[in-house]
Amino acid sequence: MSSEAAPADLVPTQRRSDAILARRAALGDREAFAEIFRRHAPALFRYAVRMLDADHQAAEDAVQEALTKAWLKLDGFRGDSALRTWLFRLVANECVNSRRRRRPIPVDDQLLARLTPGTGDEPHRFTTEQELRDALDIALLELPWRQRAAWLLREIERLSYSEIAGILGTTPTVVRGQLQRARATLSVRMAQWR
Amino acid sequence: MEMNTPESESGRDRGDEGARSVAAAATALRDLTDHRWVEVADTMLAKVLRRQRTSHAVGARNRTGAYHVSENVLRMSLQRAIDPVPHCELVDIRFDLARDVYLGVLLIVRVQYPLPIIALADQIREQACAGLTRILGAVQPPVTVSAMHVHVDDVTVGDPKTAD
Repeated sequence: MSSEAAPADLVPTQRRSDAILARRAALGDREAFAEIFRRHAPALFRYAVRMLDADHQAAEDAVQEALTKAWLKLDGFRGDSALRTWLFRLVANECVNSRRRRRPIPVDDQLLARLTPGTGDEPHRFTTEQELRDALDIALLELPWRQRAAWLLREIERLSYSEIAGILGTTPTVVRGQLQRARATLSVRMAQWR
Repeated sequence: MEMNTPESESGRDRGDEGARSVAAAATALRDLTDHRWVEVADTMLAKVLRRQRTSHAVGARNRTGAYHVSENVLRMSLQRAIDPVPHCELVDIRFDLARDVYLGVLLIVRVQYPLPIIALADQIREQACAGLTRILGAVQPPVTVSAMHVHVDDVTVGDPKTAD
């Protein structure tokens, strides 16, 4: 039996599933971890930026700290949850820590007063996608952080209620309630922006 | 009985319009890669991978004398040695050490059903022994990977190198 198989037998890292990459990275495979990073870190950063009120430096620190923990502790990852969910939990925890270190900004959970309906003939402001995103980012800033986290994880990252509950340390029922309130608030705010 | 007044209909229209704007903005946000991320990603990955995991030291020997290697280095060496074996994937590696002396290694491997397990296991053992010997050299007791336990606890139909 041949002791050295042909290099053609090697599987490109990009074709491997998350679970396989996690196992390989746990055994020290740096290329596997780099692929995990390429797949998931942009979304983790997107989440952190919005949870940390568009403070890019704080988001960068939070994601780096979370991914460093992931790299060092991957051998303890048993695959009970999806790798993506586990990574989001690490980043969510770092965001909470980062917010604790900053001066707290009080936000009422019952957020908005009723808005006066517009006349409907205001000029449309969303001339570009950039403006649309900017408007959403401003509206997100007004949400209490749990609502904001639930909304981002559901509507942007497409995670399930139970995955979000696992990340935020709560129940799917609470997540559902937070999402309803977040959606209502954002709809009102975005309608007002138009 | 519910009555719709022009005012409530107007409010609902605005709510729908708001929801549509939120959905459009969410799509735009999902499709966006933050330019700041593009700038920092490579540096961040390098910084993360610079961090070293704690590891045991394992005695090794070459022509110039004795030295120690990190257990992590042995793990990576084993992974590289076994990677070319088709239709199987290393799941875990556990070293048996007495202080810093290598006594043995337990390799947990997934193989694709219905390939002959024993032949693959022989190939894996051979590769593992070669990989360890390359790093540890002429240590005493000499490197061996001799025992083999086959235990079937699940069936993997796909290639275990790419999918669970």
